[in-house]
Amino acid sequence: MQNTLFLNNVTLIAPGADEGRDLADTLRSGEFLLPEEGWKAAPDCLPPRSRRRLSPQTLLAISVAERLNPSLSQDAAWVFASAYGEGETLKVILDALRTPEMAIRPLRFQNSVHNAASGQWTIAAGIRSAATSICGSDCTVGAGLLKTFMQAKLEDRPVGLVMYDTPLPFPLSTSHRLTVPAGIGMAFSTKQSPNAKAAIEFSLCDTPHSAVLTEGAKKALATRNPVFSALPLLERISGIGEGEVVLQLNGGSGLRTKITRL
Amino acid sequence: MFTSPETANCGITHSSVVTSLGWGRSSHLAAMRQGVSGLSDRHGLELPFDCHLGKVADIEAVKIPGKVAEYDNRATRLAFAALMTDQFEQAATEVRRRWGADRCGIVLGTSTSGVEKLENVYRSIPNDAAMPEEYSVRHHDSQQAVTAFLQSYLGFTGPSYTISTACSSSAKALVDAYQLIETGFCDAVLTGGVDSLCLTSLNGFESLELISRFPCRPCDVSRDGLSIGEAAALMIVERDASGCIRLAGYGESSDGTNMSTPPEDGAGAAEAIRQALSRARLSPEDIDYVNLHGTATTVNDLAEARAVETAVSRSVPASSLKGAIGHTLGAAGAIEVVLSQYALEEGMIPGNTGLVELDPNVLPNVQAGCRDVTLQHVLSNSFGFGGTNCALVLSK
Repeated sequence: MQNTLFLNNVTLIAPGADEGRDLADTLRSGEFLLPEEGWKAAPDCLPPRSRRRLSPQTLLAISVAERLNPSLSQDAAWVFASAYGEGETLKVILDALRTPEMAIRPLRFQNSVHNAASGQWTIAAGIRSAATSICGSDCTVGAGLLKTFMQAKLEDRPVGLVMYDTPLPFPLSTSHRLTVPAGIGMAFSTKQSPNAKAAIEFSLCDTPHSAVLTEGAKKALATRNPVFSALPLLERISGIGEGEVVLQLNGGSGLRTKITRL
Repeated sequence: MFTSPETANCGITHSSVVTSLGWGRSSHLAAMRQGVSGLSDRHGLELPFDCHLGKVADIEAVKIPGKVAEYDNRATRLAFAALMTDQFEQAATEVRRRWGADRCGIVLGTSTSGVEKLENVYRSIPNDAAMPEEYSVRHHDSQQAVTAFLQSYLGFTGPSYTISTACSSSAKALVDAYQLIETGFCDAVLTGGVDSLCLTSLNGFESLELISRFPCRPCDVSRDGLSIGEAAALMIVERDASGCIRLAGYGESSDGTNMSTPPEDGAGAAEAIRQALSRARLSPEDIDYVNLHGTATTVNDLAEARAVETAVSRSVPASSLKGAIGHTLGAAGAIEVVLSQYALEEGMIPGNTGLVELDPNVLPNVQAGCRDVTLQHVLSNSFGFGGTNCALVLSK
């Protein structure tokens, strides 16, 4: 089997990340880590009223997805990958369960599932194709890319990959210890288009996870957001360093990605 | 699809199931033949409303072995119970030996994982207190927790992750098991689904006014909602498994309309069914039995009936197993695959337990009792919050 996919779009959303800025500059600067009190992603595809109803996690994921969407055809499949899922909604429900009535608000409950973000995105964008929501704990990025590769290759279709996680409210923040929200998106296809940014060849290996090269990315890893595991890949895609990147998978193996910039 | 050299001979070589009907194949076959329900209002949970639940017996007595004791919660106990049933652990050990640990992957489906443990811890601490130092997300409420538990216990070192798409989770996990083999990344994959009873699910569905006060009655004219159950189902999908029940085709779609209510015409579900038939290279008339998602809410049952009418036929034999085991949420897809496997192997159409008077607006060929019929191809449907649909064709 030919194990190459073409990357047509890549995006990073975090409090200090400027959409218009060159990705390599952003990674080198580390300014995407600038803390901003109360920062929430604000997807354009949702009216303000809908934004108020949705969690920071879902808003971030939808923001990533809508940036990828112009690079994907309507039949594209979607893979949403998150280590912690709907943390803020979980906290609201847990507080309700401390009361004798255990009264959970219906909208909160339906938005508490791990696939709330992918479901809300398919509704916002009127998508009828397959959407999958996956978790691989600290190896969620590797798992998300693996699933994306399999679905694109075996079904010969474009796939949008949305990786996202945000800090949780107290007291869950004391056990779920990430400190900066971040979302990374990648749009893949099986056929090369004039807009392709890179060709990426996928295989399994038993070598360790690749290190990041830039100071900004090193600081990002210290925030413990599992999404930042993708930064070695983003560095190569943006021209920082060359060649292969290994992303860790649960179980000890790695997903080797061989990047050729186009 | 699934006709490449990599997957043409892929099949489900081992399976195990634990539900409120009991542990393992023989107890489920007996209950399916006799139309027994595991739903009961003597569940012992402190809830602010009455309901019948499909609670698995003896889970409290399950002992998680010391080497993986940090994963101990109700969901991992359910998984461990399935591992201890029908010689599944021995089969998994043999599979690891045959293919090599790094060629054996794990993909499970779950909706709530070990959140029941988090609920207990959270409710036990003061409102302004931090989480206890010893509480570990990775071992409990992470959706990956049960998968990681099985990976650690069995020593499978191939890729592993968890699908969490609400009530279609473990049906979709079976698709991933096949994909891992077809891409050549694995030779065998442990898959399945696990979800335990928890306050979040129970009070959440009650908030949506979807919990029946009676044992649920899918397809019945008097049905009035769900009964929730808990369960674990495990399967091993392997290469070179001729003669075993296999996944012949799958379909996945999104409704793209509403988080918790399907469109009345079941269009998304019908699309998933059509894809599954197409990938299996089958015609609608080839389907011998439809294992319905059949949750027993009025809206869901009607939408599914429209979908099956559209994509298969109005007259196809069908039944829901939720009157027997309840809606086991993220585990439901895998549970119903294993029970459909039993039906294919035994030549039986399971009854629609709890049915008294069939709703004339659902599919007409649904019967309360079990029927002996030779089956070749079974369609199993799973749908979930977020408008996620997955249809699987299982073939002998």
